[in-house]
Amino acid sequence: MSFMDGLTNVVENRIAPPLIKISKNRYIDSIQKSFIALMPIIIIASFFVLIASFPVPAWQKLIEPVSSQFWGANSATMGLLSIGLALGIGYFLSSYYKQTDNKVDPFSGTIISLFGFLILFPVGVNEKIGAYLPANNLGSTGMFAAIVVGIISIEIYRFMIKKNITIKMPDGVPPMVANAFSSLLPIFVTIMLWWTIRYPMQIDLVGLIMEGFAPIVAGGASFIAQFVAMFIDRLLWFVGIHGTNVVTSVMQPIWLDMLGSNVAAAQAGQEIPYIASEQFLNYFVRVSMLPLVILMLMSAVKRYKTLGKLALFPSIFNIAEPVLFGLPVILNPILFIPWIFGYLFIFAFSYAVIAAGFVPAPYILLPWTIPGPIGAFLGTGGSLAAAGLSTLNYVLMFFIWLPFYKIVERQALKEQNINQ
Amino acid sequence: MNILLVCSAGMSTSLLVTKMEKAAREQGKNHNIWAVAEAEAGLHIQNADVLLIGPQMRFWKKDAERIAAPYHVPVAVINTVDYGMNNGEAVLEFAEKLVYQKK
Repeated sequence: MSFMDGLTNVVENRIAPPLIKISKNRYIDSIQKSFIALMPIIIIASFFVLIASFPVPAWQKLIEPVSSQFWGANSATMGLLSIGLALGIGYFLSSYYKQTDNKVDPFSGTIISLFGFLILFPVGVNEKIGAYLPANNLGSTGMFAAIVVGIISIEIYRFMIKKNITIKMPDGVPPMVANAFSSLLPIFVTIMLWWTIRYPMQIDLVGLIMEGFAPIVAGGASFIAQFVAMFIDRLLWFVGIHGTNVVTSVMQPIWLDMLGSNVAAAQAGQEIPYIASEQFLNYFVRVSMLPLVILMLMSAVKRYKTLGKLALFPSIFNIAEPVLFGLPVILNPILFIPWIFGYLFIFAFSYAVIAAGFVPAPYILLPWTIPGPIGAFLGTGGSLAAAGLSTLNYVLMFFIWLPFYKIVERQALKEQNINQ
Repeated sequence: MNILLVCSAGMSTSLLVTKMEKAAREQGKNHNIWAVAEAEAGLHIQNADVLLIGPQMRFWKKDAERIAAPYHVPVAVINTVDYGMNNGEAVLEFAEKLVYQKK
């Protein structure tokens, strides 16, 4: 199979390295680590949305008097996510720099990033509630501002530390105290910078950054961009590289932005704006290896049957590696077509079904290990049609795998018979 | 011996952990084997004698080596076939070999 060798060579040596390089970029890496650390908050927020919007009439009636409290919990978590991101960027990026410069202190970095970001939200005073922080853009809409401000703040901090533009304490001063003083000048400079922009110059930097990133978000959230990302995801997996991990590192901010807009629309009772969200991918497209596992469980090939048993429970919960590496799907020329084009087909199919209005778009995030139909049901606020579509996709994938799998199985059976 | 396994979320490698633990028990060895996500590896490396990476995260090996270098922990990518078949025994042997080679 020289075509296969050529393809593998191109993916492994041409396509994968630049993508991996991007995902390992220190800024992208800090963003990704922040999101991983914030994931519990995002899941808890979704849990409250789920309770508030669970579509059983009796339940709706029961919680109606207190439903605003559940939405309130969402506003206090997901609605303040950018604060967490500002913390995360500050911490993880300074931790990265600490590896090469021991004088960089991650907690000082966290403080610089957080307060640099917060000063862009002028505290207002209201007679009724007293002092308040305008929180409109502290949720997912402010994420890009948190990222930009965090990175610039940490770069200033690191630069000043490196050039020794700090207040030095005499030897013998405890390190805790010395650290606090050595970060004083960098904090002063960064806070002054963001303050000057926001207060004397009256520039709405958060708004400007949002506008600047709007085309990227709109482009990244589009069908085409998500479709291409899915293609890259499958292609990398095919050569045995964790494609989802690589794609997620770039897509995560866009996915969270989409999620934030979708939740806001659901809360306001409007149409869900983004179909091709991460939730769409998890509940409808990245349906697990279960169809293949069922085929393997029925197989006369002993190795396949053993692998099928081994992979059954992991597959139900969307863990694909046992099948991918065990069958294997990876680098298997016969399974290339169903692996790549099967999933792209159900991507386009599900998108069309949702866009046509037969099935609602999901807007609630659940852990990716939740089986597709359950995720689709809960993630759409309880649509049985969504659960049906997800189940249908498992069936479709079963029949897409079937003819190709049979070829692989026949070969394996031959080998088994020869060896016996 | 402390064996640390790493993949993207620490999920698929945790399957291998149970198999490796079983193999170790059968051989009467008292190993400490656990799996974590790539992002958390830095917090666990100091307690490990060897770090094994799931083959799907092999592109992460250079970063892993950077994390592991200060503690002189050997780093290696798990063989694809052993990984796929969840061959705990083979991966255990591989891990032991890496640790003994170092010594």
